[in-house]
Amino acid sequence: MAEREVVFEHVMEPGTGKAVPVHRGQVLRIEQLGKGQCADFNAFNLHDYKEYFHTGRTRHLHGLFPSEGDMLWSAPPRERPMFTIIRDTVGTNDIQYPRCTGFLYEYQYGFEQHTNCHDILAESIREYGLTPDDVHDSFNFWMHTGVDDEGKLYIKRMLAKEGDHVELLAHFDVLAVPNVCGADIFSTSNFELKPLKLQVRESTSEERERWLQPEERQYRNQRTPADFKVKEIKATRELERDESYTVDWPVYPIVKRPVDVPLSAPEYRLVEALRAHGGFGDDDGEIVRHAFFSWWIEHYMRGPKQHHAGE
Amino acid sequence: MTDRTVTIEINQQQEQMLDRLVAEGGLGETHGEVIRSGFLRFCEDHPDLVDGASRDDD
Repeated sequence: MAEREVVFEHVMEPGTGKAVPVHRGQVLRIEQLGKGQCADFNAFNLHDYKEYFHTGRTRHLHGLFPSEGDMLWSAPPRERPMFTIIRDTVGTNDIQYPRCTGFLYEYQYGFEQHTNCHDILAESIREYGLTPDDVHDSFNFWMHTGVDDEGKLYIKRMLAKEGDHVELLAHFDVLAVPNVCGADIFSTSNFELKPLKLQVRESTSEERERWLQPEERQYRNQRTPADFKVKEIKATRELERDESYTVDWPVYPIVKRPVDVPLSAPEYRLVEALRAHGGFGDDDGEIVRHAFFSWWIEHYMRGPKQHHAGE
Repeated sequence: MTDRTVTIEINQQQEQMLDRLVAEGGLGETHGEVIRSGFLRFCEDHPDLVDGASRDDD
């Protein structure tokens, strides 16, 4: 395939979505055709639909508003990068709000029927034999959100304009499922539904060199079905207890042992200083433990630290 | 000189981490010494948190 060769193009009209395969090394582009439209987004491993996009791990590793350079991760226990956002001309994305649903519009606004992301995503993935239960929490491209001082979410005015776009490089073969968000009574898309253009193209060598991650798992705990005790997908709806089940916790029992930490008098004054500062615990052991593990996080932990010692 | 001994409980997973730090060298030969070293280094990294506590004299 030639670099940048377009292999798929489609315009998603309001009320619609599209499930489209994006193979490893290909780029999915979503482009604004109007004045700002949110795109909700689901994704599945094309060869194992039980591996799917996970807002939680993505939020954990990249914060509340992922943008260019950040990755979309699959759910535990797989936890692999599915895509990297290699271009984002706006930079306002959301992974806190769940997809809107028919229930939401009925419960909150009294609509018996209303465009909603869950139903559009469900209809989109039906083309590949998946069901409404397979829709998962979405990555919400261009949804401009915030968190207020009380920790509550709110939706701001959409900033995207015609021509704005995001490009996602796939790290393994994925079924990508974007849709035109159905919310026309929130400011999600400025109270109006507009079309979005989809394109799948081959990546350039520079893009692959800069962004493409290994397809194979890099850590033993990025698990595959080969690691599962039950490897088959359950095919019945009824849950029945497995009479042959015997419990086998991965790490159990947790055994604690005392460790003596010797401190000189001047060193012990540091314990007292941390106690006076507050936020490290009350007794000597709690304070030394909090300070030691804080040091370890600051110097040894990989990835976002997400730890403020003493707070 | 040890004037105070602070005892903390460590589980088997945390022991693995301490084992690695012992093997790395430079922090002490025992789990207790490693924890002491990490604790002191934390305090050195954050003088604002231990403002007023002097280690220079007894």
